[in-house]
Amino acid sequence: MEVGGAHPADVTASATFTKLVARWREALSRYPNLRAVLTVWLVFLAVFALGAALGWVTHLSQVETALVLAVFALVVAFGQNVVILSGGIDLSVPLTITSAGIFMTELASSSGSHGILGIVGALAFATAIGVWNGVWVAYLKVSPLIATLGTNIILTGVVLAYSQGKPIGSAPQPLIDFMTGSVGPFSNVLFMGIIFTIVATLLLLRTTFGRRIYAIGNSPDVSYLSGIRTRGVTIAVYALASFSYGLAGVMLSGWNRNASPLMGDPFLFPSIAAVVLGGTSILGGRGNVVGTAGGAALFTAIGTILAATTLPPSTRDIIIGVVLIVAVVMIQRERVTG
Amino acid sequence: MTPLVKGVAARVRGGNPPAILGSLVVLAVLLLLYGSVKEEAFSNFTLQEVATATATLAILAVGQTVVVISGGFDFSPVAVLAFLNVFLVTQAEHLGGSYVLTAIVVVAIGAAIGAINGILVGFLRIQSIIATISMFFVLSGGALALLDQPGGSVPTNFSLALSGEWGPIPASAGVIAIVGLLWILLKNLRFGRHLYAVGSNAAAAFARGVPVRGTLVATYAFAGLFYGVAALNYTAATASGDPRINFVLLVQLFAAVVIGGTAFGGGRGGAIGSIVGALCLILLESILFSVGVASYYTPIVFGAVLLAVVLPSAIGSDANRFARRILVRPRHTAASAGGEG
Repeated sequence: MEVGGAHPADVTASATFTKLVARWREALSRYPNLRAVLTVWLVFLAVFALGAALGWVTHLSQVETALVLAVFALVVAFGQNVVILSGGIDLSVPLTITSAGIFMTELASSSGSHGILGIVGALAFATAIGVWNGVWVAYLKVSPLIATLGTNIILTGVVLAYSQGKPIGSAPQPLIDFMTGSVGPFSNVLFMGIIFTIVATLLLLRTTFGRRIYAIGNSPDVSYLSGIRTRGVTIAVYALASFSYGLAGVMLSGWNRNASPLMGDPFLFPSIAAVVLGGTSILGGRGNVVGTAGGAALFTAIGTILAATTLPPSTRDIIIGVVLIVAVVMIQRERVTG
Repeated sequence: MTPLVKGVAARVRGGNPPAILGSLVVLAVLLLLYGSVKEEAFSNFTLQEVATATATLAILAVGQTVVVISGGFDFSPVAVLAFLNVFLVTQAEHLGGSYVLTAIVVVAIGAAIGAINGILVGFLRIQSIIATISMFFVLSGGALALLDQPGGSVPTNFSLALSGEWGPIPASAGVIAIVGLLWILLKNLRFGRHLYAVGSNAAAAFARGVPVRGTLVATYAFAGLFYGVAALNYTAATASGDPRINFVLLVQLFAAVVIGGTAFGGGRGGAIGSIVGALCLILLESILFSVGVASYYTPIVFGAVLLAVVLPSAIGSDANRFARRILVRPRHTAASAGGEG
């Protein structure tokens, strides 16, 4: 660019540009999955642009609906994300959500208070489930897949026996008001999602605990030898994850006004898919929450847009399956080539 | 002989004697209990019931076992089952009414679906969990697209052929036996040796000239084939179509594999154990029902059994190996094999 005769302003402009490119390259190399994160959000926008071009998206409210639904998916996927980052997997997602929701509505309607007791109780209950999972994985050395699967099926029985298959109680009114309320045109849930993402990102990237999760995911042996109490961290990871599922269960119950025995079922595989779509490695140690948020948003975007078309709802699952494969292949190609 | 070859040879020859022994002991105890609490426990009718209930679970578990031995996991079987079930109900009449042809087509589709999984895992090097979850989404969508609510039916002769009786034995028991024999055949073919080698250590197997990628494609294709057989049996037993996904079945599937003595991580175990494991679960369910435990509590018992079964082997094993066992297999293997499986 800087050949003789160029205008000085051009020189500075191109120098600035070169510097920007260099900085961008550096950012990409420092955060290896930044590209995946950006891609997933760009695809999210592209889906809506395409929807608008084809006349399927006519209102901004459709985008907002997708994002609100994405917040529920995100809160769940964050839990899954933490577990996957630590090198495990959590299949107890559906029934932790459900049982937390049912626990809350029961406790809230029986205590007759504002429901604070119910919410706190449900979150504590969910966290206890996580500790139980963590003990199986960390101390009893059971494969995370089996341990969490076992937990899930046990909770299935507990919830079925308790609810006899029917929706239970109703969520406390203040919670319902909050979950269905909005500030100006934006739903409260959206703000919760933004705050949740920020707190979750800070927790993972700016705290010792967060860095330890990555360390364990990259190599449990090295982490152990460098003095990290890997068992304790593993238990904390599962507890944090289940806390998130519990939070999602509470939020969903408020949003739906009650808790039902099947409310958690649609979240299991999508939570894993959202984590993977967002660029987190299923082997652990690499990934972040912003990408997962994008994965969750993309997921719900496809569903929301298809709802506005004449295509059957089953198309959503087919598209998501294909998108997931394509995304994973692309992410892996990128890691191999650089 | 190198340790790898020796180890694999021993495993292929001997299976996993202590583990399958364990499941046989469990089976014996359950049979005694079953015989004592159930009325007419061994009459033709109840045996027929048990065999029919066991068949779907057992055959799916055989497919899952093949995948687990290769070092992977398959989350798609319940979706394959739902898809092929509604395919049978909705499309069978287009195939000219020949049951044999229909059965062949269904099993072939199952194998093709499996082969796609295998290509994703073997050639595109996608983690088996993600590949099969993607397939799960595609097929559960596909099942709903073919039939959006439970319904439809299959001809009575088709039902009777696979869930009636073959001479003195229940047809389902016959199908299980055929599947078991097919597994024993597979295990003793070159494919079987390659399967255990890839599951033990894909990098070492590759270095010794085992066609790792081809073996993985074959692994998932055979698994899919078994799912296809399970779908035939399931459809014959229920005589109707249901596009909904049965998550409890997925859990039972993993439980049957674990009870049968196939360890997660690959390279060990066998499908006969999984058939025994499936039978154990069905007997357990039947026992609980007979003593009057509400069906709501059955999942709790299943979960407790699943955790109880893995506990002793988990505690007893080499702690270091378990520290390295993350999800599926030792990290160093995955890395040096380029993320195979």
